[in-house]
Amino acid sequence: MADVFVAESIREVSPDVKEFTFRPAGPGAVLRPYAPGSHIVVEMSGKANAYSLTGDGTTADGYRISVRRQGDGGGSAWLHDRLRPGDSVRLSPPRSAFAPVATAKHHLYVAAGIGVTPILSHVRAALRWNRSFEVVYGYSAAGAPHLEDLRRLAPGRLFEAAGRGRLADVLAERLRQQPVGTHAYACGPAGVMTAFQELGGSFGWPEERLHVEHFAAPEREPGEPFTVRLASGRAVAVPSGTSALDALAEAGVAVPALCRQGVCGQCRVDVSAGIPEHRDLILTSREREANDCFYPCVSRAQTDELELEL
Amino acid sequence: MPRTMDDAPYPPKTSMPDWPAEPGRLDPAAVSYTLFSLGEADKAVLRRWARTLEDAAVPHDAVVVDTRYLAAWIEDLPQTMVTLAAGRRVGWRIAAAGEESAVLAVAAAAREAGLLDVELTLFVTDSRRIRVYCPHCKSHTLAEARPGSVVRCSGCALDLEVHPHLSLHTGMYLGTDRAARERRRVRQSRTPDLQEALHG
Repeated sequence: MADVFVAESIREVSPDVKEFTFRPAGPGAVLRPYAPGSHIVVEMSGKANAYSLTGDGTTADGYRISVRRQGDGGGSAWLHDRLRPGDSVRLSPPRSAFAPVATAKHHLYVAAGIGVTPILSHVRAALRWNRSFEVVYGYSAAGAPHLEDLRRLAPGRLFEAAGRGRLADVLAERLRQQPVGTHAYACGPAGVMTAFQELGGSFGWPEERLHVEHFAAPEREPGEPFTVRLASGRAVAVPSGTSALDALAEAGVAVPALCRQGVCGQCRVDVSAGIPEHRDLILTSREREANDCFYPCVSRAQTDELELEL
Repeated sequence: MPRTMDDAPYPPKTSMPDWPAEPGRLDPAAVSYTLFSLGEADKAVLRRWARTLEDAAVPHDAVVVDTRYLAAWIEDLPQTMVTLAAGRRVGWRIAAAGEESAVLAVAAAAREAGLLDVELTLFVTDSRRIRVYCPHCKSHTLAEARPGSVVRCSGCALDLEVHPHLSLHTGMYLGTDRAARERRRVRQSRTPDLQEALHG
């Protein structure tokens, strides 16, 4: 899955954020064009973290990510402290889970803090493909990564908000001003994303127009045991603490999967009977209510049994 | 009528509209609504919708079109919708009740203007007339018809067989040259003779 790349350059973007540019190095490694808002998974000595690509998707400048240092033992610390220009890392191909809506008449991009990384990609792609857009960027006194880049890329259509309170005001103001057909996209801390969705909802935005990119999947309970029944009639038991994806694999039924945390959508399986307990970050509430599919990497069952079209 | 691919039980006829039996509820969180009452619509539906919006203090306007003017109104609708949508903000919704041909046309024009299906409430009170698209001359015909009917094309005068295939993009059903099927049938029935003539 992952191929070998080399860190071509490392640059300090702000006091705790570094930008890494990767070029293909190993056999079979290639730069793949990607949809704006895509991420790659970086494998580092036993750890794997997903980071948003910040380019416009054409990869002329290699794969570029910006990483904020968080804590000491994690992947971001390893990238900040250990990785040197010329070192090799294994990277997954880009995965798209936060793409722009092709039919949108206008795009409203909302970034908060290091959530600016996928938004930077969107802005660069919007400029390259001449899409109508504007940006709201909320940052704190402690750091505003890529603020200068956004000022240079989007003069006249960048709305800056210093501090959480100011961001709520700017966000409310911009959400009320969008022409019919606008889609909005937000990436930032959980609190900002919740505010984005609640404000949008209170101003008459259907959730289908409000798109969010999560930094990390939430911690999930091990869940109750249940059974999945295959189209052949065969039953596979899913114990508490084991995902349906793993239980199926154990039983010799391989479902293609990528992120394994309910984000990418790769492992979607159609459900013909029973009610899933949806724990993914993909389906909208309307799609959840249909109960006609689920993501076995994280989702479980409300009923004792789920009948799958497998 | 002979069974065709269109009548086959599988694959399902996903493009046929599945109209609700009752007028849908409007969204009280909307910023504003435009209501449409089109042709032989039950005016009570429009009144009920308007009342719920008044109760929720949602600003709204209404467009009422009499059956006599409906055909011409539908033709002008793409331009009308551009004017209606100009200056509107996200949060605008549309609710349309009445003749199927016009409800489908409103929905198509609203999607073109940037609205999503969740922002449209559609209620069909009369399914007699539909618009049939002719792929041979690219014109369309408003007629009393259903899938399976035959309609004379207003553009090229071909007899069009109407298929259970609706384009949400245009709000029209697909019609194709009925004689083409007849001609094929004649050709097929002749084939054994031809084989005989050639090889027999």
